This record gives sequence, C-alpha cells and structure tokens, in this order.
Amino acid sequence: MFKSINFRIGLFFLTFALFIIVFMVPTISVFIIVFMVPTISEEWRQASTADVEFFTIGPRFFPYLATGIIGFLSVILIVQSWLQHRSGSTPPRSVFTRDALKAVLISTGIGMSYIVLIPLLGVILVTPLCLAAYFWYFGLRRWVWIVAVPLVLTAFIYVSFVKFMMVPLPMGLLER
Amino acid sequence: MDLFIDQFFVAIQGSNLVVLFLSTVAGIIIGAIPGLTVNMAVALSIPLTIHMSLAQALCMIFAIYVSGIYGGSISAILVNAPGTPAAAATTLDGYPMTQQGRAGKALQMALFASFIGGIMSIIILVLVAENLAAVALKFGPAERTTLMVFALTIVGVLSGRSMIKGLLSGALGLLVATVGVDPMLAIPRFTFGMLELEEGFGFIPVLIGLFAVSEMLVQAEDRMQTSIKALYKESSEREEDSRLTRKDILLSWKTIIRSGFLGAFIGMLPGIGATVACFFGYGEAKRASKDPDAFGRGTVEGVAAAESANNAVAGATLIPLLALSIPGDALTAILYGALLIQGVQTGPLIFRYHLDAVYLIYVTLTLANIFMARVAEVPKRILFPIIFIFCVVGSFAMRNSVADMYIMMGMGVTGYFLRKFEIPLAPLLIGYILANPFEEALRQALVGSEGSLTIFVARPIAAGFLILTVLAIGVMIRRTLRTRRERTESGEDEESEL
Repeated sequence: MFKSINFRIGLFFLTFALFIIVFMVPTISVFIIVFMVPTISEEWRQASTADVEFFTIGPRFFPYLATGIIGFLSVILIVQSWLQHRSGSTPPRSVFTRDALKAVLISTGIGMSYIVLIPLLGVILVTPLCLAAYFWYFGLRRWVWIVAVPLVLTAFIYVSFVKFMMVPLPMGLLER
Repeated sequence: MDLFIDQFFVAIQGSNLVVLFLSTVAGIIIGAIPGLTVNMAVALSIPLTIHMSLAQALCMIFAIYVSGIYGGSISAILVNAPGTPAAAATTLDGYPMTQQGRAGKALQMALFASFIGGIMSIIILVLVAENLAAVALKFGPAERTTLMVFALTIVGVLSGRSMIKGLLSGALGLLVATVGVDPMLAIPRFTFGMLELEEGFGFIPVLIGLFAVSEMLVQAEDRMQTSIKALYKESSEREEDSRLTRKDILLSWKTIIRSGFLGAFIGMLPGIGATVACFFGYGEAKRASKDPDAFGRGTVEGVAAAESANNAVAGATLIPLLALSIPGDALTAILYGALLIQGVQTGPLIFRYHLDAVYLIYVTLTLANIFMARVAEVPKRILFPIIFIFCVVGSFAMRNSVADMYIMMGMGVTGYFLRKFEIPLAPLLIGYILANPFEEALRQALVGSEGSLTIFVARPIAAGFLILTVLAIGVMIRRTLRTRRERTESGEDEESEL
C-alpha cells in the first residue's frame, strides 16, 4: 500500500494541508519568528470591534476552507488506496525514471540560472547563454544553433519588447 | 446586427487584419506540432497583447484559439499524432485515409467541417449568451456562491481520470489565490512582508508556468530526443482522392450538423471541453451512420464528425464565460485573463458595459474561422528553449516584476509534478480564477445571514445549484463504480479511480 502513488500523493497533501492549518494561517506561527511578520495579520479584529460590534468573516476563513478541502480529499485518496490494496489490485508504478528526473532537474537548473542571472547581468547577456546551454544539452552541436540562433533571437526580443512594446527589461551590466 | 457589422469593420481594419492572419498561421503551426498545445499558444500570446488595442488583442487570441484546434487535426491526419488532445478522434479515420493516399481529401474535410462547426457554435453563442446573462443579473451572493461551487465541482469532477484529483486540483487553485491582499478587508495574507506578493500571484506567471513551462519539463524528460515526424502529404494518383467532392459533402452534411450541435451543447457545460466533444460527435455519427463498419477504416464522415464537434466547442465555451464569468475549461480561463488585461470584465454586466467587446469577439471568432489555412514543421529541441525564453520575458513584461519570473518557474515545476501524478491542471487554474469572486460572494452571503449556512438552501436558485452539485458527484461515483465492476467481471486488472 505504501508504494501506491495515490497513497503517497494523499499523504503529501495531507501533510501540506495540516502544515498550513497549524503553522501558516494562525497568528502564532513559526513564520512570525522567521520573517518577523504575521502570515495573516490581526488588524481586522480591531477594526471590527472598534465602535460598533458587527458580524464579519475574517481573512483567515477562506484559507482554512481551501486547506480543509485539500486535507479532506487527501484523506479520501489515502483511504481509497488502502481499499484498493485490500481488494488486491496492483498500485500504479512509479512515474519517474532516474534519467528523466535528471533531465528535468538540469532543464530546471538552466532555467533557474537564467532567471537568477537576468537582474544581475541583464537579458541581453544572459539570453544567448541560456539558449546555447539548452541547445547544447538537447544535443544540438552546430555553431548555427549554439551561436547564431541565440544571438538573433536575443536581438528579436530586444527589438520587440524593449523598443516596440516599451517593456523595461533588466539590462544588468549594460544599464547606464 | 448593426453592432456586428460595426465591429466587423473594426476587425478588418489594416493592422487588425494583419494580426488576424499572422495569428491564424501561428495557431495552425503550433496546433499541428504534437507537444505544443493550443493552451500553451494562447497563454504565450497574452503577454504580447498587453500593449495592443482591444481589437488587435482579440484578433490575435481568437485566431490562435480557433486555428490551433484546427491545426491539431493536420498532424492527426498526416502522422497519426493529434497536435492537440481535441483532435484525438480525428486520427481514427484521418490517418487511415492518409495511408490509403487520401490525405488531401481528409484535410479538406477537416477544414470544411471545422468551419461549419465553428460557425454553428458562434450562432448558438450569440443566441444564448445574452439571455443567460439577463438571468444571471438577478443572482445575489448566495446564488453566486453556489453557482461557483457547482462550476468548480463539475470542472474538477470531469477534468481528469480521477474525480478526487480533479477536486484536489481545484482546491489547490483556491489556496494559491489566497496569497496577497484579502478581497474584502484588504488584509495581507501569506505575503511575508514582501510588497511584490501583495497583489497576489499574477495571472500570467501562473498561467505560463502551469501550461507552458510544465509542458517543456515533461518534454525535457528524454532531452527532446523523440523528434516530431516531418509532416508530409502522401498523395494518391487519382485526382478525386486528393480533394473534397460534392459527393463527400452530401454524404457528411447531416453528420457535420449533428456533431456541430453536440459540440456546441457540450461546450456550454463547464469542464467537459473539446476532447470529449470530439469523441462524442464521432460516436454519435457512427451510431447514426448507415455504414458504421466503415468508421475507423478511413471514412470521410468520421473526420467530419470529429472535426465539426471539436470546433463547435470553441464558441459555445464562451457562453458561461461571457454570461456568468465562469470559465469552463483551461482555454476559456486563459481567455478570461486576456480579456481582463484589456479591461474587459466578463460576467452579466459585459452586455451592458462592453457590448462592443462582445460583438468584437463574435466577429473575430467568425473571421478566425474563415481564415484557416495550413502550414507546419519545426523540431521540439529548438522550439522549446525559445518558448522558455518567451515564457520568462512574457512573465516579466506584465508587471515588470522579477518576482513574477520566480513565480512562473515555481508554477512550472509544480505543474510538472501535478501532470506526472495525473492531477489535472485546468481545475487549478479555474479555481485560482474563481477564488476571489467566490470568496467575496461566500463572505458577503455569510455576513448577510450572520454566519448561518441556511441561506444557501433557503433560496431556491442557490439550493438548485447545490442539488446539481450533489447530483454531479453522485453520477460520477456511480459511473466509476460501474466501470470498476465491469472491469472486475471481465478480469481486467487496470484500476479505475474515483
């Protein structure tokens, strides 16, 4: 049963929901200690009890509702995979292979590096590097792909976004 | 009618027509490439529309939307790989026709049936949307709350293979939308003191991350090694096999009309979408045909049924979006965002304050249906990195915010894992979109009733939506249990999920 994907998904989302309900939504949360700000402040209570008492529903209600539903559905997923285990049906096998995960991790890594470097070095310098890295990783070796296409595309992005649509893309080192 | 004609002249003005043409070509190319979906194409086009006029933006979005669905059928017919899920049923007869050397005929029938289906759908949209909006204007907070509960439930229940996972996805969407300032008292939630998060997760980064970046990560699993087969045309020596004849049209016109109506009807219901419509139209055509055995072996009627149905969905899905502000599937959710960026708020009041936009939508949809041509072929490993760059720049462009790029990437990775675990993404996006109006309506209703839940059952329309919600869940549970029993009886081991 523990190997069933649905069981694991259920367990993950149940933990996630409990974490949010216990630690994130209430005022006294570990996040106040870490970030020095409440996840949801208490101001509304003061507002509602200022002069006249009136009935209101606070800002915590909806996060509790959404996480409550997530928790409830997770429990159903867990129970369901337990019932399936009892009835003897085979749980779905793992959906990941080691190679696939590695490829996804590297692709995400290239993407993340691109995003982290944009504010520092600027779109114009980082875009060709990112494209070249992707093309190289996906097995393209000809210089046209590694050099020419990234440069042409960067020029296209610069002209279309910065000059034509007036979007102030971060220029990083090239910023005057 | 006058408004339709006025907006027609707006849409065919120089630059709008150019945008319409280019977007149609782009939509068909993207739709025809397996792995690139219409959703992704429309999502990526939205940042480009920010600085466009309303007319240009609508021309672009609807042209990509309509032509993308048609584009999906090209690769379905030529290489047996549907470019979009909506074209899956087209492969059943389209590809056998290609193998028989009748690809030209199949492609022309797909275009013809798509066009007729699309036009029928627009007529139904025009007839129904405004009347429905008039009814919706009478809804109070309690009715709006239960309507949204119904919409979210039905989208969750019908979107994926598993009802629970669909609903879970919808609830995640509600939670994602709670980041930012609360809609009633303006109290920041989960912002951790960061100003960038006060406005919440932006629509564009969430959308692009969920649909475009997660798709790229799925495709990256094998380092894009599975190439897209070049699209080719096999031609027969006989002239009549490569083009649509009057005989073909006479054989299929009833099928096209029937499937068109079915598609439009399915499109009106939230959460079902073009893929189901396509199979439904195909199945009905087979059942009603004089020669059902010919289906699946390459009959032009099969292509007509599937294509007419999936294109008829396009206009009809706009009915709940325009009239009730409830997007029925991922695509209409994306369109909702695009309209919002242009300052057009959907919902019953759109017919009062943005009637020009509504008619412009009708016109651009009609023109997009007329414009469909055909093209295609570029390898994935070149396309996806380029798409990724556009994802990042597009996410930034909306609010000039670096945080949005991180949100997009985070959503992309989340979307990737959800896809792998077969948790459908459409309910998440729709939950995210509906969360704020839902929370507002729910809290208003509860404040009005001083916290009593009876308000949702005391009012007849509100109670009606709740009954429909329970019925939808009940029907789904019954259907799943029946499928499971049938499988157990026939000795199949594959599990069916609730």
